[in-house]
Amino acid sequence: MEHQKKFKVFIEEHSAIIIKICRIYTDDEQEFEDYFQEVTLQLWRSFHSFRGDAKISTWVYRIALNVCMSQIRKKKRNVQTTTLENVQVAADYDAKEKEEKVALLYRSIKQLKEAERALILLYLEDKSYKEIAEILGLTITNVGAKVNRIKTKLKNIMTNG
Amino acid sequence: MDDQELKSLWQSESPKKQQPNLEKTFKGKSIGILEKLQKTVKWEHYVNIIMSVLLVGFLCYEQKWWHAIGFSAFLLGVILYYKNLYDKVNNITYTENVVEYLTDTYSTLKDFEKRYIIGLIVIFPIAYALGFDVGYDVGHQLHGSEKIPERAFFAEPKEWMFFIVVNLITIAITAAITHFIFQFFYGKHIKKIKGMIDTLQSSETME
Repeated sequence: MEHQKKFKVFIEEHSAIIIKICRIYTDDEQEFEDYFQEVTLQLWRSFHSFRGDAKISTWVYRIALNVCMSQIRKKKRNVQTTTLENVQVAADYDAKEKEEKVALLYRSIKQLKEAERALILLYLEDKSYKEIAEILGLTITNVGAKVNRIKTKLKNIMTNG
Repeated sequence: MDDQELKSLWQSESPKKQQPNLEKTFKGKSIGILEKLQKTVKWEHYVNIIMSVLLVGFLCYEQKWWHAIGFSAFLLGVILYYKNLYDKVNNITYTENVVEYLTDTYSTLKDFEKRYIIGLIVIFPIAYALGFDVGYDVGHQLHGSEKIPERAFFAEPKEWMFFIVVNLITIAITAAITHFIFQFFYGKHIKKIKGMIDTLQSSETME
């Protein structure tokens, strides 16, 4: 019971990033719910064995990305564009404009290859190249080169559609 | 938009706190690919064990001791092969780094396809030969040596040819059907995983 309580707090603390990861790999609300539930389940199953030899964020990113990237996708239903129903936009900003920009960012990320999405997500999350390399299992040099290329690709998509 | 603006935009978005269905989580029902593979191998493994026990039991009941020994050795090999596959699937964990995890999943999916091929090329002819042999003996016992003379079948090259051709045709047809079914269920997924591994592992240099 104590373990379950700890896990509940843990999920509350990390739900934002889990949601973001699930969102860039899903096309509709039902699919999103399935992925979110599956990531939580895999986190729970590994929760007791986490020994702290890696950073907890590295551990969360690994599990969430592995689940989302390897999931067998159901046949596409009515694909929605990103609606960001769950997004709270900061009050001190032009909310509508910002919401549109965020939606554009998500739509553009979804146009990248699935593996590229993982790299750009970690970059946007402000992870160091070293941590990105640890999460993905790449060399730091390769991470740097890939991030540069994908950034340019993402900006092009955002500008030209 | 510069890099910093892009990051700020991404980080400014704060999804509403969302609680998954923790009851469902604690019960542990997964829809992940690993779970599917684990379940498939587990069921096939159990079916193999049950069928092996029944088959060897039947042969012992019929007092076909040599057949029982032959089948036991063969079925033990099949069971060990499945045990090995089961352990391999169970050893993959979501906590591995992404490339490692995807590579392991890819290799396991390929092993799944391979096991059908092994099943067809190795297991099927052996099972067919042993099964035929048992059937021949049973026929011999039931109908007597006048209609089915002891081991006469195996002395005839024509019959051997028939035996081999039947095997080859069965293997070819089953292989085609199996390949089609496997590709239908997993083909696209295997291709996708391979594509992700290639994208991640391709070496790029700083411009």
